[in-house]
Amino acid sequence: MTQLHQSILSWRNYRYLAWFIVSVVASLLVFVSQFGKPLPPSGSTWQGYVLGTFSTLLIIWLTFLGLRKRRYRSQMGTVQGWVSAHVYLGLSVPIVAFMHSAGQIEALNIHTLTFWFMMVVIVSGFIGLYAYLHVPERMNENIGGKNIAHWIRELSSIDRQLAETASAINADCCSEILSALDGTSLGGSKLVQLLGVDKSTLFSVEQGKVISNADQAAIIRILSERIPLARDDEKLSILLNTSFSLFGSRQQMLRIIRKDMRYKSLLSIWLHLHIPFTVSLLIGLMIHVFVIFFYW
Amino acid sequence: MQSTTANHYELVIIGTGPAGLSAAGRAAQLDLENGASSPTYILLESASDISSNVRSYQKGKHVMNEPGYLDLRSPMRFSSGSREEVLGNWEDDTARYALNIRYDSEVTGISGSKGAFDIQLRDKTPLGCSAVVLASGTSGNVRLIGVENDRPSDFVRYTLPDPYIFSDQVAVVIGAGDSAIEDALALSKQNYVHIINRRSEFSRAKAGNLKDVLNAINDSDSRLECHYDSSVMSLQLPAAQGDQGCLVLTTPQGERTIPCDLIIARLGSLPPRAFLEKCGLTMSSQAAGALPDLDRQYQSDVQGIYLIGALSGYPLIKQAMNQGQDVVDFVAGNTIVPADHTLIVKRLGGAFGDKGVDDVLDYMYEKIPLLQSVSPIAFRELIIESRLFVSGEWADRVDKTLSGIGAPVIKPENSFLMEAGLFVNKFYIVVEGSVSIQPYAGAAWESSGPGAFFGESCLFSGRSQASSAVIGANSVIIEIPRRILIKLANSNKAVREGVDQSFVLGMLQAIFKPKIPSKNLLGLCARLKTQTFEAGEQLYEENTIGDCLYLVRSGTINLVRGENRKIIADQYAGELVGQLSLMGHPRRHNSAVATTRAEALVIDAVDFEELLHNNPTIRKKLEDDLSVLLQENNSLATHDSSAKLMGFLMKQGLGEATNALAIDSSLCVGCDNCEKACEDTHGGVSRLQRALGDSLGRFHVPTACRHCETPHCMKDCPPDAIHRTPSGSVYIADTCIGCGNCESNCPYNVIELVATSEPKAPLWSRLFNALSPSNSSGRAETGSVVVKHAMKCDACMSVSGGPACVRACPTGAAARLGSEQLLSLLEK
Repeated sequence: MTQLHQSILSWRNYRYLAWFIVSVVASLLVFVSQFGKPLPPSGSTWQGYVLGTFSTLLIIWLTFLGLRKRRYRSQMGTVQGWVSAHVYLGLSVPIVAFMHSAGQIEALNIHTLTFWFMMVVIVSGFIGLYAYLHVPERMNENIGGKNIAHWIRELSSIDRQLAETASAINADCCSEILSALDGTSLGGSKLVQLLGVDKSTLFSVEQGKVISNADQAAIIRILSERIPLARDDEKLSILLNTSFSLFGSRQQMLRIIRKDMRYKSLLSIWLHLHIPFTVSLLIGLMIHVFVIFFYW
Repeated sequence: MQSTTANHYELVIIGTGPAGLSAAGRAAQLDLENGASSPTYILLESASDISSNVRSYQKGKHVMNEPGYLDLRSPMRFSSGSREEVLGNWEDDTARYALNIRYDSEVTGISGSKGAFDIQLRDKTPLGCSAVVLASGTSGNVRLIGVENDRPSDFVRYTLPDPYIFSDQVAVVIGAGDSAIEDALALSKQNYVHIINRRSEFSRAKAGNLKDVLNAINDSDSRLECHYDSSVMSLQLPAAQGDQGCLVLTTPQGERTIPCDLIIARLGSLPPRAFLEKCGLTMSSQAAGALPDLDRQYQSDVQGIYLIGALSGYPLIKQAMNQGQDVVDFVAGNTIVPADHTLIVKRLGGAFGDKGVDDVLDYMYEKIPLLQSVSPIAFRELIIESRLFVSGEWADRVDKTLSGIGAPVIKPENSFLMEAGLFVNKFYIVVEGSVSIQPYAGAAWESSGPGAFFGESCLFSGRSQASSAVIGANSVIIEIPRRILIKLANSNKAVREGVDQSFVLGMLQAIFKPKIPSKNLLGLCARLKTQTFEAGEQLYEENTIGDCLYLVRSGTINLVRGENRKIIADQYAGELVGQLSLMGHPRRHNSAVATTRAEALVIDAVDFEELLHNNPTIRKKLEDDLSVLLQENNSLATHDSSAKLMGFLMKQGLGEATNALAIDSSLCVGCDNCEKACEDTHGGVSRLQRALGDSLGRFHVPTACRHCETPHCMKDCPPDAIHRTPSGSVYIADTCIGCGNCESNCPYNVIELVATSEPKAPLWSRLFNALSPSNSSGRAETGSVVVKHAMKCDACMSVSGGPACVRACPTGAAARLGSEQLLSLLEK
């Protein structure tokens, strides 16, 4: 938007992109220097140890973001700078670690397990980065520059109007409208929010049972079927038409709110992989180092 | 003291308010010391109880003991507390000293001269004395309604100690000041209330009261009705006990009769001018509120008559009590140093050598033409509230063992007193030596000698200082805090006009740089009128013919164009508005609207032409400025979205912001780390609410302090607890008493009254506390009274590295900006 606001990727003129390039190129030079030696490239050459130590230090430093983020009085740079460095240096970890392993990741043991833990952390981090870069803008577009509380207020105002209108319509239709209002479901588990599953229901008088009212489709269909039948009753016709258009707006608002929930869960769900696997990675790494030095 | 006959006393003290009681207490002490067989003084009270004014405060009202810097020096006790506690102490002490009080003794006149005064009492009892202390205050002289039957009675009242004894009645409150509003609001909780306002608005009220009363008037559920532009024609007392009386009003709609059970008139009080003049005293001016001139011992021009308390211009209780003690010693001829003597000694810090305090004050007073009409007592107070800056030989004499608050500040020659670009909340006067001022960056430095003053431009405009000032060799400069200058300017016309003229001159010179000599501008300066515009009010309309231009003194003016009022520019203090129609085509090309409350100087077309004619060099400068402005206007006018965004930002108060938090919604991931950072760095209470506040497009302005140019919150702070750092951050100091004035004055709802809590304990200690059974309830229950404090963003002035909210944002969505950066936000 302005000079005031800067993306985490371009932070300080791509300072950490440069760091990324330098660390990858340097690691590559170290890695390549193994070729032509009697021993094939592996984690056990001096180059392998250098690369391994480097990736371990990188991983440990990367976990420090969690601490820095909570040290609000810290004078050590800004959190945005740390995030920018976290992204670029995190990106270099799989490359350096892969060179460290020299491609020996086929077997299934504690060492390769640690590698795959790392890959889960990296991939989930990528998902997070993607979400951070793209979701806020869409989220803002979705709620149209208002805050979500505004839409929830609008929704409850429509619900009030609908309940009022319904009370003037015949019992069958009234009960369907009220059950549609009652049966509307928003939110749920993280996964339900992420997938945008709509578990809304209503009680259909015609079918005599509870049916799905996902995306308010059922109630809109029911009302649209009743409107032509009410053409001789002017009062009923007006009431049905009002309800119909109110449900139309309600559908729009529920979509907005559901989408907002979805975006919000997108912004946080990757952390459910990123953090636990970081912990697993650190444990795996410790075992890996311990085993290497004492049993190899 | 000499012995007294039955109706002759050495000293007659009139009034049993804090000043009179304190004086009587001191007189009783002296009698005891001298072994007098009977009292040599008498204390006269027109009512039948002591301190009727404090007694008339609303029940339970908290009485403050301002000013905090001054120690109490009185035989009577006084500390801040409820009205009941304060009165209780005085009643006890009155009994303890067995004060010689004569109640129901209204004094109608004083005649005679020093040593032989005759006191005329309403009940005609003869009474003589050698000296008189008048401590009767002004509250006894309330303004009456001014119609028949307006004498105080059960039906017509001039005070309201307890509004809650009335219920289900119809009450009429006459007046539009703070006490009228407070009474009307309190009464309206249990009664139906009419409030009678002579004008069309409540212009004299404190903003907090103003907001409350307007809300109540506009709220259809409230039982408060306001009659604007209405005055009382007559009133009719109830025919019998329990009947209603009525009040007849002239209103814009004609005559109106209001039947009512109760009339409360709150029309203020005045010094009893007629009485004082009858006693032979000379008043300082013709103004209604004028007081007699006094010497340093509170003696009036009639030798032997002394005035203390509100009658001497000191309405605060503690000052009045100190004066009470001191004046009795003065009368008795005892040499004493006044209670504030040590304070002044500390302020002077020995810079003036062995000269006595009074001589130094006289000397300084002589040197400052601006303050010539200020009374010696007020000048003394000004010095107590100020600091001295000294250099050279003056600095050499300063007692170096003095340090801390109030002692003189030693400055090397040519060091800065004031730097361009920073905010100054002080006003400076040169007493000795000189000051060099650079009016704007790059201009020549100019030196001024004793009597010169500076610093007013930042105080008045709310913009950062344009000029810099350095102290000269061998100089003494007084630094006066904002509050004291404003108080002085409000009460003293000569000070107000003097400072204002200098402010206007400075603004004109800044506009017309390269400079026009100030003597060429003085004539124009005197002709200029200041016009005040409320937010939303229009200065001029598009397509009309322009015959004047405006120089903005304070606030923000928007230039808008077309039917949809597209904003094309915003002009701030020190900038011109409407010059286009005087320099180009006379038709206005846009309308000018005040976005905040603004003040502007009106410069007439004829004056302006003359100025250009006499000073050809400035035409070029003004034309260049105008062309820059036109380009900006154009870029705004051609981008519809920019104009819309500008309108939004103005509405959000960013036009008067110096440092506001703005969030780019397209980067914000909603992690609330900004709020958490604020909470962590400010004792567990966040001063910003990210999700609240309005948005337009990607621009979100959360509920957080804007650090306004002229902070609305500073206006009515009783303990003067709201300050501004040189970088512009507005903060609330610990001296806050939690009155809530700032909260109601803030248009952006960013101030909250919060019960002060202990800082959050570290995680491990909270874990252990939760585990230990003895402290399972969490925070300790102290049972103490919850003290509330006003809290708001302080721009992290105590956190190095700048605002924590911005530094904690992981995605760079949070940023801080001031009004100067607004244009840079817009797409080019």
